[in-house]
Amino acid sequence: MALLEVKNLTFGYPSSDTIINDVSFEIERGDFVALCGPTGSGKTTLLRLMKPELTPLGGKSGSVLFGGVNTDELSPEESCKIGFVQQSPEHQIVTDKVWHEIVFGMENLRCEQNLMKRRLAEIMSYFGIDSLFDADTADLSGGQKQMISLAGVLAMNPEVIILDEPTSQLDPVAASDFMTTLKKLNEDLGMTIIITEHRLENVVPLCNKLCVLEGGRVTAFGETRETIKSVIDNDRIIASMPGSVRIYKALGAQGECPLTVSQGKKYFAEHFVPCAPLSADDEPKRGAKAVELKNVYFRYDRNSPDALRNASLTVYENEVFCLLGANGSGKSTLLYTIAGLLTPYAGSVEILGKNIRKYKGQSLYDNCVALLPQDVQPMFLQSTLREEFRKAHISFDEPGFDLSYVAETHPYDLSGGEQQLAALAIALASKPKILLLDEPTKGLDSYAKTAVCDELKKLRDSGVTVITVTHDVEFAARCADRAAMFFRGEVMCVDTPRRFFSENLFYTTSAAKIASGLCPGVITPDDVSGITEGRL
Amino acid sequence: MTCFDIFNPLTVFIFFACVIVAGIFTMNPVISLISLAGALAFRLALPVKKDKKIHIWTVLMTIACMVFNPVFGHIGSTVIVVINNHNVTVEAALYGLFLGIMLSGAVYWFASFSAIMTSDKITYILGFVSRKAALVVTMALRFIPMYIRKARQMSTDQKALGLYKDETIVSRLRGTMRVFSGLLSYMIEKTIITSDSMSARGYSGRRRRNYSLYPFARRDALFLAFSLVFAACAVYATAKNALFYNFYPYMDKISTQPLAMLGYIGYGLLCICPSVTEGGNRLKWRCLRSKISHSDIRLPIR
Repeated sequence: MALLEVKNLTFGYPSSDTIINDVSFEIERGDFVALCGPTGSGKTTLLRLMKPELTPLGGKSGSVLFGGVNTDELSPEESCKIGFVQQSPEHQIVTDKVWHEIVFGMENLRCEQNLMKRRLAEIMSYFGIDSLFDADTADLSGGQKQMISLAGVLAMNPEVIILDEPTSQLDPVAASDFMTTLKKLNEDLGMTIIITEHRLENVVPLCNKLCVLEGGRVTAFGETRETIKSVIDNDRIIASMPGSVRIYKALGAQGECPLTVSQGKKYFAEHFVPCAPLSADDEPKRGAKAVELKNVYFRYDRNSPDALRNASLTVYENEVFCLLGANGSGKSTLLYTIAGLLTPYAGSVEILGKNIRKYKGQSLYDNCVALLPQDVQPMFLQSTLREEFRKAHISFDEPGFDLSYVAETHPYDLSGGEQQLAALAIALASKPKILLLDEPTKGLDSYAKTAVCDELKKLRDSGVTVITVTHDVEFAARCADRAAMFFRGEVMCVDTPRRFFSENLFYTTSAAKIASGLCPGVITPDDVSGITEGRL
Repeated sequence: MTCFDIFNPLTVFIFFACVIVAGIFTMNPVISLISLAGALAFRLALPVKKDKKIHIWTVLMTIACMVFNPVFGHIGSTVIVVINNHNVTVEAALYGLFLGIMLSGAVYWFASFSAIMTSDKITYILGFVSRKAALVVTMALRFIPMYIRKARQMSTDQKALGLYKDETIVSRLRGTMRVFSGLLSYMIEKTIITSDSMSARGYSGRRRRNYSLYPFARRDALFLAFSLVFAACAVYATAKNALFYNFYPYMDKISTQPLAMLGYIGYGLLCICPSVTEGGNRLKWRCLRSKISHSDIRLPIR
């Protein structure tokens, strides 16, 4: 008998059309299922319909059976056998101490003291987080927070864990750690896992089944490789797949589909067409200096270490400049320094040829510099997007991207990508010459990333200098004119993206990892398809 | 670390409640002095070192009590000087001095209390009163600082957006309002995630069972028994009026009747209890350490 069985499930919110349309599938014990599909395809709704406490209100027909029992009839104890982890690391943590967060669920189930003790010890040892026992949850990193949330769910001894984009708010290193932990749970304990994710790079190589959801319907479901093959012509789905899959498609989709970088490398060696190295991009034409930092030092506190040490950087007018680097390398600090929100204790910052100290009062932000923060949601203060735009004195046709179809929606109800674009439009209302962006692709799907990328390029062409801080190497490879690596508060190297990513060995795109050995200069799957099309 | 870290928080709480309450409600110079001496001794025994600020405050407070009490209170019989037809008396000054000493003692006890009682210990104690209240406090301890941080962040972010002016007071006030209203809708939105996370983990408002991090050991029972017995002596003496002391119009002689002595000794022992426990514990460590260093046994772990 299947562990979880979805039978002819149809669901619609009271105010809208059906979101989930006649969906049926079965999930066996020990399965690791990735649920993928574009934003708005109903992934989250489908996941919530499998967890009784989180089932949204609305019209539902069909059923979800857990161990043969309809989920509507499960007792609270039985229902806890279905674990659920949400997206936001910050807000799904309930208590102030790590140990308390892990026992929280067991306290609700009124477990015996001895059982709680045993589980707490087991879980913390298994996750290797015993040193965090007494820590305040507020002091944890995003990755640690998600790990604690997972541990808290596991403590309740679930049979299946459902995860709704658990790593979309994490940096790449933390995201891959989290995925490794999930894989370990799946292999060590036979835990059944159902997960949705934008960043399929890490998920697809791990899962054994793939479920493709489009417009509320399951369009493909089954073993990972077979499912990928069956949707290989669907560009929107393939765009979110790992680099190896996209290269597989670019090379004509013959034979078995590679899922990991190593499989991709092997596949590429067998199937590629020899080609001359892709020529390095021309050095972009240099305009005037837009931002210049000279030997800047900054620290948050007199006794803390330097967050910026000897940071020197020149960004020219009309370029998209991407600043890459690991968590805590100081890249956001640099951005806030350029925005004049942090004052360095040594070195100088010049904006448009004028020292930043000479900008008095608000003048730095008058048609000059604008910073788009990482979390754009709190920027929205009105009840509809139309109202929001009216307050910022912008019209819907002004920005190059079309948002008029969501004009009457509450900004909080927009998808991540739409929120990012709306925030971008608002940030542009002050007509800045220099636009600073902090992680603009966090939590976005590949479709929305393309939209943001296109928009930044358009802005550059219209005369805006864009400086963006990002973890996302794939995004930087596509959108930057120049990229820089930030490390220990210092800019370590600056280069055009093609040189930057093909010379980097570790910190680079998966396409470059797979292909640049044989085809120097390849940094995106599009490059591969460019080569093959040229040959055909 | 202090040896009070291994005591049950309830033991610690009851002890401090006894010391502070008895010290405050018995306005007796001897008791005040004992309380201050005990509190200082315990401060010395505890491995907390940053006491400079507290010392300055307590001294200032005592001086203030000593100066202001005679300025505003004019009873007492030994007049020092007459200002504006008002008597400034020795009794009033001394009353102020002892008031200052009593309050200083309480301040030092509170300082030690807060050094020992971390937030989880306080919520543990609250759990005896109401489990729900304890949960609410833990959540507040997490969410209040988090949203304060968020509000600060929002305020900087709005500035750097370049959309709003903040040069006049009115526009700055408007900016604050904007942050506040933005924070409010942000909070409402995010609270839904938290409540989902709670109900997904079986929270339904039914009775919960609190996980108990702290065992109640024999040492707790012993320490509690001593504290309660000593405190009872002081309370008994107070109840029998043996510790009653009058500053006005003439200061009483310090009473030495047996019942008063019982009160002094009981309260004294109560106050010295934690220092002795802490000191004894340190001594024990020293012995243990010398034993460890003389022994040839080495654990195989490197």
